[in-house]
Amino acid sequence: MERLTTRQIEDFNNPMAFARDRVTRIGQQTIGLITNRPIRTNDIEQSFRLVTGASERLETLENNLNTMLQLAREGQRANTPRKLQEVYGKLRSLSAGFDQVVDAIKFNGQTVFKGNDLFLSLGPGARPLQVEASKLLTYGDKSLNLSTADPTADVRVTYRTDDLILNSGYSIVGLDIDDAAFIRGSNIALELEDGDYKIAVSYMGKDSSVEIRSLTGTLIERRDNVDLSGEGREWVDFDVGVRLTFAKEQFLQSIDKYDFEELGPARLSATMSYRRVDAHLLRTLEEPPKPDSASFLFNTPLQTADSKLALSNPRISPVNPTRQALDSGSYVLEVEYFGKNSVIRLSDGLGRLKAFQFGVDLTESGTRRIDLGVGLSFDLEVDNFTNMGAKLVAPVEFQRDRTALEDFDFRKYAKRITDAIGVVIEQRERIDKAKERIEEINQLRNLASTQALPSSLAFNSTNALTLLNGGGDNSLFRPASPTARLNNMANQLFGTTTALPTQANITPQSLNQARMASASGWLNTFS
Amino acid sequence: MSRQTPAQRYLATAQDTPEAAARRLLEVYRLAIQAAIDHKPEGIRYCLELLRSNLRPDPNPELALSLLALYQDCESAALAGDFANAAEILESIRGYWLARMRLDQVITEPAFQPPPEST
Repeated sequence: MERLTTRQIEDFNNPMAFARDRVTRIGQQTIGLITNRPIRTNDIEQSFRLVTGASERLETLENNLNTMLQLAREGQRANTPRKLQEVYGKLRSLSAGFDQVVDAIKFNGQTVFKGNDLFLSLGPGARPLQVEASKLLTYGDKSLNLSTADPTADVRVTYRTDDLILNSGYSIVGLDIDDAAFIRGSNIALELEDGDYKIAVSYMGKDSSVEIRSLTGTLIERRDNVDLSGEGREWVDFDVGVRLTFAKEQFLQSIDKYDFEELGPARLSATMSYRRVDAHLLRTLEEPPKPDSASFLFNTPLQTADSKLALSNPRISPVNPTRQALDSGSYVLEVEYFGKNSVIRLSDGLGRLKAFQFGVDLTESGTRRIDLGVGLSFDLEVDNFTNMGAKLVAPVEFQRDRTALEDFDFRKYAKRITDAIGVVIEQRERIDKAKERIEEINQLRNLASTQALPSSLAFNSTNALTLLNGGGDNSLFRPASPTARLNNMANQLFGTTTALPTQANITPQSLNQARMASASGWLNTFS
Repeated sequence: MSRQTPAQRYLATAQDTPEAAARRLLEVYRLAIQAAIDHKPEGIRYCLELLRSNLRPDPNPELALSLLALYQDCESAALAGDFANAAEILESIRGYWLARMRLDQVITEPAFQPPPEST
């Protein structure tokens, strides 16, 4: 593969690139009886086409794996982040292509190499040939273990014509749904079905509400008290596993976006599409990735008999696109109280400043949520606190899901590819052996007239692949004799176990007489 | 000498192995083909008559009918002097019987031995 551009590398490493459609809810198992039934061919012709096509495709898969092995070795030698990203992106692309080839090897709509045995018919009178077919997908149980299927969803928000017409009724400015995303670890029982939904926003400043509704208007979930006033970003999380990001701008000093106090709430609309997918990731870590988490190692509030300054509820929050996300590790959170000009700092273990907020007004009592914009937010409770210069310190343990590339071991992956090549070669040998067997049976069956026989040359890959793709009605096993009568006779001869008693009744005496007649030049016969 | 029923005749010939009976059948076809090669219509007719008289429709009537029709084709070709066609038909029929015999041998041998069961 040629060198990739920066844009291509970005595209190849996009978590949603190469995602596969997911039919079931997260954690839901498919019914085994439907997917694990063996594959059976109806006649020897189908059997031959299947094994010929499968053998061709297995060769393609082997070549694909060899290219991946070269890339993995290249990754071992890579010493720049860009090169690592490039190699990783190429490996993602190739492994996804590998799965596409495996999925395309179908017989009667059923994928051949998914771990189901093949029963290849050899025609009447012969026992079907049983061939073990390995599961050659790169993901899943008992597979080649070259990738993982990470259940997620592709969520997008758009404004369609009906939304634009509805929204144009309100002269609201400075509010937009910037992004929509799937929330990992949400309640899987509530997961949305594939399809389109409506987002209904009722704008009332700090007391706005956001709803997800079906296209027919049925309420699915509602979030109240959403602060859509002011500037910045607001994230709204739904239990169905969707997070909406609102981008807020305040252009006018007198009115914040819309005069809802005078005109009533502005009702805005957008369309959200939800598609269940499995992200295609390459991982070499044996254990599953740790869930995101944030916690205070210890947390002692500053309090007197009638005043209090306390921290609580540390949690993971979305990262502001203009800020750099925090890495996993230990941090120190400091709140210095200076009334209207209080300061909040987050430093790492070496004292380097990672996030800060200056000029935070903490004069009013109450609990407020502080979002540092780097992936960490917490609640800050102020209760009649007036002690200027007081400092509240709390160490924070922050755990963020690392990207797959950060923990990727190219050496270990090369070993896995080598094992996978062994599996594919073994499978190909089994298929080739079956092919030889079918050829042998067919040759014996058609020994009578070889001039009209389908030879091995007739079974070219194009014909075989046509069958694997579910088509093809030009029969290769044409009548083995020029006359239909001979053809019928052959079918009857091979399609029954009573052929021999029908004709093979000649006594030794009769045969001897015939031999003698032949030796005498057929003289005096039928005088 | 009393006339034998078809079943008695079959039992009489079936005393030896099916393989031997099949070999005799192939030998009759070979004699017929040789007669066609030698342009001997009487030889072809002799062999075809022998085959017809030993045809038993009971086990497989459809096959018996097909064979009868083919023998008729062959005899017609021989009488018309088309010995090449007659030989080709006979050669084809003989080839099918030969393939059937070999197939019977092959399918009695399993294609892939199942792995031994672990104790």
